[in-house]
Amino acid sequence: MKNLGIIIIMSFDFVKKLDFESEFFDLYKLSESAYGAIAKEDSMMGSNAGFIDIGDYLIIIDTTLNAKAADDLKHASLQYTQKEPSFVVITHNHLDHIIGNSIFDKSTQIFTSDQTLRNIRTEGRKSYDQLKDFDPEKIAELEESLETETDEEKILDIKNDLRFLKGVRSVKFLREPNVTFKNGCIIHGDKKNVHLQSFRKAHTDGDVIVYIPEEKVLFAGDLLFANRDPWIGSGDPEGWVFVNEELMGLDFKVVVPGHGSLASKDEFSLESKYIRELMELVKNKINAGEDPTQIKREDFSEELQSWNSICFGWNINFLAELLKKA
Amino acid sequence: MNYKKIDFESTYFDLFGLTEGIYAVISKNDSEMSVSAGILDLGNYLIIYDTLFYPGGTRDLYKAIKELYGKDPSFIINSHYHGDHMLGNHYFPINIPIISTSITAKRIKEDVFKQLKQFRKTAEEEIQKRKEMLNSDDAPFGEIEIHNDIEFYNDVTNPDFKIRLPNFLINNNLIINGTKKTLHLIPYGTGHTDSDIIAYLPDDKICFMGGLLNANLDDSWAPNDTGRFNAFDPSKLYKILKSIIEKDIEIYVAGHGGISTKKAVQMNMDFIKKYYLEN
Repeated sequence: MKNLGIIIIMSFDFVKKLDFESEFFDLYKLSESAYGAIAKEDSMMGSNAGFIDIGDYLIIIDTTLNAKAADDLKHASLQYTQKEPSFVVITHNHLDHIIGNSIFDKSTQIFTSDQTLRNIRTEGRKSYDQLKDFDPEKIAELEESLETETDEEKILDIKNDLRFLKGVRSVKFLREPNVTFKNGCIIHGDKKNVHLQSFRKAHTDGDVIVYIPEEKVLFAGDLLFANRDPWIGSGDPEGWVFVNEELMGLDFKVVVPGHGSLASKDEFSLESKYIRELMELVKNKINAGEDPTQIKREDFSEELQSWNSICFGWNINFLAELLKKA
Repeated sequence: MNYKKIDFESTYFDLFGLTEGIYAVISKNDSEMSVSAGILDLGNYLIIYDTLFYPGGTRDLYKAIKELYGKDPSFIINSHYHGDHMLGNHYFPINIPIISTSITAKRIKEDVFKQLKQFRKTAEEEIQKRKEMLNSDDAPFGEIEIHNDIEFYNDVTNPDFKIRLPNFLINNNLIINGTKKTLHLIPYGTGHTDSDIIAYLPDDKICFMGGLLNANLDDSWAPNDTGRFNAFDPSKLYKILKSIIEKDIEIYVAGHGGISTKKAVQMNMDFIKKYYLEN
């Protein structure tokens, strides 16, 4: 997995890894104005993020799962642009992309789609409250269990739970975005223009992309999980494949995915392939009266077999429910 | 309607508080270039709706904002491309984003730059005309308007005068949720121009209409006469007004003429029907 990441990054000869010290992410200069913060494996950051300096304005993209990671992102943006953030753009409602919102000055406007704000106010707020109310003793137990647990999948699960539990505890409150758009908007800087566009029914209902056409750079949020199982259970798998087709029609040479290393159009193709294959596999199991949870990595096409994340099992359960209902 | 005049000195406009934090900037005179604007305090964000035409008016608008709030606006809105609503853009600091539709930005680029050239070309002659008017007994405008015009021509011929384009472009609704109030910016297609934005405050039942509404209409404005009534597409403007009159709004701030009610919206609809749709 790590090797694959290095190969991909090396193929972007125009991308420069910056010498910024952070325990949470590696920082890349992607173009004249765009910077990608790629979460280190196992870090508490929980997702990728980035920032764009368009001259008049500095735009932050996503605020991660942890206040300290968001703080590092803010410091990096100040160091490389000498600007304070003008806007923050939130790509979707999941907590691993929005927890750091509250560290930004209250005069910094936070943008997202209408639907994403609605989702933050409902399911985002609910998850946040549940995680905040989680018994601290049980958190300690979870941490202890890591020392004895040997099952790899369970270890991934526990680590993920701890990331979220600690993430919500890194902030005092969940700050909501305050400027919302229906379909999109364009921000013109004196150097570059940035397009924000929202999509219904993909990874979530209301995903936002941040696109710099002149520099062919795309921040995809969780519309792209690069070379790892995408989490398809809070959106619409078929709609997602359709949106990916639309995104591949855009002219870009590098993508900052929501999770995983820097990517290109190839990773969108693979992701769509994964979603289609998994839907087919689950459908076949159900039609044959078999248990979909018996699906193995080896059942996928070869290029998808090495993927590894906690979402694999979740996705099968989600699709099984979805297809049974259908 | 229950609103109060605010104690602010300007020869260009009167300032009215419509409700807490929402102010209408209403021109003192009735020339074609005298337009309304809005100051909207959403709590953590301050929004300006339209930046006026006369440089002195915009300077007073900025002064009013500073006196009221002691801070810069977070956003400026250009309701549409007509210069009388947006020539004041460049008096505001560059870091304040200016919101308009993509079409409005395009039309400013195409049309307003040309108009500025024309203003500059005729400035000397127009200033001379105005000076003569000051000594004349039958001047078509009042003394204040004449002085405003002279100041305008002097300002636009200054090489520092620039047209600042909107830089935050929307084509669908944008909602700004402040800590005290929520503002809906709603773009409409062809109507008064080929693209207009209203600023609607649902909780306060107030709507800033830009060029979509005239508070006063005169039959002499009809198209066959002076053409002062400006409708890019009368039948579509009628439909836009019909949809806006149906909203839960009590105060409509007209782009020209001032603070109004549904009665003014109906009057504009009747005017369009009479002079454009029934012929």
